[in-house]
Amino acid sequence: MTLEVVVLLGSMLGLIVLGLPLVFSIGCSSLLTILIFHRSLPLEMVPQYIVGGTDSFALLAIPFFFLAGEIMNSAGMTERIVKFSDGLVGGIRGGLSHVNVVTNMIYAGISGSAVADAAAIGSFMIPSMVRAGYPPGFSAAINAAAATIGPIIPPSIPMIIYGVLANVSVGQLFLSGVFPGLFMGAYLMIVAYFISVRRGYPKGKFMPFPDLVRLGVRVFLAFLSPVIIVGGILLGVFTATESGAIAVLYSILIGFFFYRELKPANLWEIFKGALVSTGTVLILVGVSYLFGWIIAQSGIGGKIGEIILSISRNPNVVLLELMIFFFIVGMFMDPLAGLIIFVPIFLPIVTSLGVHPVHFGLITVLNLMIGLLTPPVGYLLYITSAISGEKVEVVIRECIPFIVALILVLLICVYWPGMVMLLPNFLGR
Amino acid sequence: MENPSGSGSFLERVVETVGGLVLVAATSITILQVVFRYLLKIPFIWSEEFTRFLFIWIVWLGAALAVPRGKHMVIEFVRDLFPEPWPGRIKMATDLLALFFLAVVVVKGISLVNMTATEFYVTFPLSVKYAYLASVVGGALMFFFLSQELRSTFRRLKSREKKT
Repeated sequence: MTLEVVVLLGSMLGLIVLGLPLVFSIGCSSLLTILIFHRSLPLEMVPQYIVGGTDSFALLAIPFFFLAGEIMNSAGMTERIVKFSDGLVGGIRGGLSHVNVVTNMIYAGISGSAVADAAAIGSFMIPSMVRAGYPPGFSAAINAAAATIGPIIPPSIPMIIYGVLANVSVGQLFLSGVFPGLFMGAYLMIVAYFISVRRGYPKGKFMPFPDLVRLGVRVFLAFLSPVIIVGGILLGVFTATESGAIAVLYSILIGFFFYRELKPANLWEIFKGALVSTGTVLILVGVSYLFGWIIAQSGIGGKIGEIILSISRNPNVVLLELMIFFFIVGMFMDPLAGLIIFVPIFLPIVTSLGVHPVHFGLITVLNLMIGLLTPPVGYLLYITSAISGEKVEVVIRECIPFIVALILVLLICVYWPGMVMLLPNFLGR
Repeated sequence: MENPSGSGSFLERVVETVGGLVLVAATSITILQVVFRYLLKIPFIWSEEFTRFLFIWIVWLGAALAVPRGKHMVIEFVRDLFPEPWPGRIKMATDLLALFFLAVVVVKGISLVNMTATEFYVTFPLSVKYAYLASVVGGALMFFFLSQELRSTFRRLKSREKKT
């Protein structure tokens, strides 16, 4: 049993580090483990589990949120949000780093994917930060760190997957991320401020208030998107998936008729792009189901559970242990794979200790988002370093203070469930 | 990755167009589902199950297209730390493993299609085998795209050997 898990995890990590795409690494290691330890099982289960893992109406929300984000981007929304953020916080020392964070926070309300946000905002913000005299490594690091807010402020792709796994309301999960997302933004800005003061980074100008209001009115339509999504789910008008489709419709309508920058030809390109993004994310979800099944039947989950509960039955201690565990998982694994494989193992343990599944979902997702900033499997680092042209090692070093800030936010969320659960409890009965 | 024969790029365009249209269809049906339920008070009974079926095809066609486009999540910098020609050799070895995995997906997917031929969806008259067919088609496309990539890696290694 233990040997089986060692072979499974070892071969997966080995293949990932050797540069095989994650989806094939997870697939090959699962297949290898079945061939060695489960000779009697029919191999039909391989395609069956991969298909079965994505056969869910709830997951269909994922391409919709990809589409909505891309459509808003094409409609010229990103530049408008950047301009508005610049007027709002550009005057603080280290101006553009704060603009980057605030842009990510506003954009988080449209998109639900950290990786997509880092690419969309980074390709715009990182070059302008470098032009303004910020080092490329720092620009890439703040952009990568701020992109983790994307799946915390609703909508959120990992929370949709958690909701399916844990069988809890996606609407409640979405709401649980509102305050933590604001905390993340604030903490990142505080850290960026101190770094900027010490290194003497430039600052811009605050915009005169009337101009800011005028810009704000135009950006207001972007703020409206999460309100429609969350409001619609909570009022029972539509499901999370339908809210995604409505968000697509909404962004098409304002792109065509309000901003008038969206063209039908762009729209077709966006759909083709979303096809590929959806395929890469969801095939990974599919193979992770196969991988998760092997982990589940190996019984290693029960063993780990026993070990955890033998150390302490105090939920605060158990949560700390699990957060350390998920932090390590986040270093080596894709967040979605981490959720699919480990949430079914740990959720029963924590709920038996009285932890609310929505609270556990938020802290686990937040933790795995920080994992996108930690090498070796720290996908955001690679994206932003590629955009900036700076070496990954430099970006990693620049990112450390931001990672510390996000870990602080995580600890606040772990030990202050009242803050996390305020909105879900208030609205989502 | 550039394509030596050029046939891949045509195939890519076909996959992209078909997959894109399926995504447009799934999006439109879901929007119409809300509109019909709330504005016209006519709920669809088939739409959720049908879009779930379309979704499986979206996933497999999109995943297949991501292979030649280099969009699958991958961490290459460790491999590239090795001295030449090792990165190319390692890539060939790991890609071969991935081809083996894909071959299992396709072959076993075909038998899964045969096994589920008599299972039908509840709300519309279609066999469930057409959902599993997505894994066969998608898996075969990935196999094809990846084997082309393997071939061009092999050629690159060969031409480098000749130079030295």
